[in-house]
Amino acid sequence: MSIELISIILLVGVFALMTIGVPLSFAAGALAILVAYSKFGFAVIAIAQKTIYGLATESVLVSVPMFILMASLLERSRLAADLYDALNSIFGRMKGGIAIITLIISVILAAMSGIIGGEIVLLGLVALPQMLRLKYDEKLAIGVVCAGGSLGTMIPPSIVLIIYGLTTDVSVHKLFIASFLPGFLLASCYLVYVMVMVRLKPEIAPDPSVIEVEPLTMRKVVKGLIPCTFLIGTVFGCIYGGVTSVTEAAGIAVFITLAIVVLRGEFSMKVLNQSLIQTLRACGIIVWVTFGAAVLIAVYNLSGGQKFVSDYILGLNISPLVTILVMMGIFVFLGCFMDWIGILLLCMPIFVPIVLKLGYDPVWFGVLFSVTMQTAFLSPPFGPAAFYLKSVAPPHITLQRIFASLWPFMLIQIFVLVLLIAFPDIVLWLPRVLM
Amino acid sequence: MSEVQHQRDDAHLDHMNDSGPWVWPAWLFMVVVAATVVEIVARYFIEAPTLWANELTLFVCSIAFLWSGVYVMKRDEHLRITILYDMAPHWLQRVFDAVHLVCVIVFCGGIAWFGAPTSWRALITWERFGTAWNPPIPAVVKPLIVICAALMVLLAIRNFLKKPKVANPADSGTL
Repeated sequence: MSIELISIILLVGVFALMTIGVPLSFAAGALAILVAYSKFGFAVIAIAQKTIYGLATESVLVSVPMFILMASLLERSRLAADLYDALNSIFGRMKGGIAIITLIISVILAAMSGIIGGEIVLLGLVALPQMLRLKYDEKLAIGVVCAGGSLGTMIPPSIVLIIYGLTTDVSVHKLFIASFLPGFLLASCYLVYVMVMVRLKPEIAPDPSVIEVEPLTMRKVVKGLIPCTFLIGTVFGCIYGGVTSVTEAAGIAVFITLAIVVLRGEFSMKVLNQSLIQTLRACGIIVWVTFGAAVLIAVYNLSGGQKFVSDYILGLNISPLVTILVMMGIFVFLGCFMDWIGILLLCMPIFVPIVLKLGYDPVWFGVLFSVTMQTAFLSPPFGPAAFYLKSVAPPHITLQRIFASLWPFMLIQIFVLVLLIAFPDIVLWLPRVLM
Repeated sequence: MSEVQHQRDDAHLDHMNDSGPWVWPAWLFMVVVAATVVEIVARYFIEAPTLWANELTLFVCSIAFLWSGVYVMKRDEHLRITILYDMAPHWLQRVFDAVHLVCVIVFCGGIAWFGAPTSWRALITWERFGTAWNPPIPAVVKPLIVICAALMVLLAIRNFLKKPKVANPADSGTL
């Protein structure tokens, strides 16, 4: 079998099988085994077990269950709701205050976990009803919740960046440092957008002078602000200060989260057990997709696929920048109907070597990817952020309405993406200084 | 706010009610947390880093990772796209299910069958990790890959026979 034929079989095969509802892991894995057999014979099929063994004992992958466990524990605590109360007392009387609080709280939650589903559900239950009650513009309220809630995959610790680092052999530590400024840049752009909009169109946010706000009490500070500050401070200190590896920082983060849950009097064996089971389930999904895709890539590269694609793309003689833009375009297109993890696992092993050959930094490319995935979370027809919000929003808020509210935020994301492409130093400056 | 908490519990899937041996390996993650804390304390407060913490972490996590696939297979929740599947008539869904089953048999069966010789060798020679602490990671994990893959084939057959399948809400956003 020629490499052209293998490429076509794998590409068409994976998409056809996925379209009819075969899990990505098994679609990729089964095709890999068939190709390995028909190209090389039975002996090579052992590569599947070997690849899985290599990945299962990979140190970086250990941080994935840790960050998921941390998020699962936080989901079961009222910490985020307390934090919201405390911030409400501080910013509640500003024009557009609740929208701003929602964004700030999404950044804080993003810095504590990297799971968008939980965040959007939480904001949809806590912040959205209050904004609607206070007569905020519905579109603004929906947009802030979805865009803010999606930040979890961009601001460290982010599972997207961990899997990217694992797949492309880039230091996760460096990725976390590199995505710090771009993540906050994106969040700040959302904030500026909200502040400018409430000035330009005062009718979209209520008059703050009529809003009753409970004063900030010591109790709110102790229960809401201090634990979050401590947790984020420790995790970021461990990672950015280079005190521990990312994997160790993740373990410490779970320990502190557990301590916070115990101190707040919310601990029970049931809470811990449920969080652990949720983690096991999430791991089973992420890790086995990774296995299936990794076996596919291993077989494809053994057949010379990597070289074939690089030679083909480099032979097109298009400028490096256009190549990067085309790759981003492919991500956005695939993002319309595929999860980030599938796109990452299938595209990156092929794309990143090309990016390297073109002379770009894979860390920069990884951060571009995580911004592109922000857009994919919001984009119709299957943007997961919209579906999560729909699951907890009042019935009159339809999916169409949600998607119609998201485009200003998607434009902001594209604006930030353009900034990062034009000025790679926004990404690469901090790792240079810190490492 | 307790109402909020309540709604959130409802919003969660029923996997919280699973118990017994299927989910026991989830507690291995607590071993990781404990080992990490001991390692950090030993390294920075007693200045005597452990030899075993990092490798123990790898060891228990690899076991949990392999088992997690079996658990998710039992729940039939591996990451998939169901748009077309949900629209298809029942008979066509059964055809898709059959293709799904064949894929699992080829992939997991391939892992188990062709991985078995190396795994057996690792087990009978009690292959170790080759480090200072030298835990028997290959001797345990390699055979476990074969066992888990074989179990997944059996569970996939059970899932196929147990139809009709319900729409699957799992995607990486829940992660």
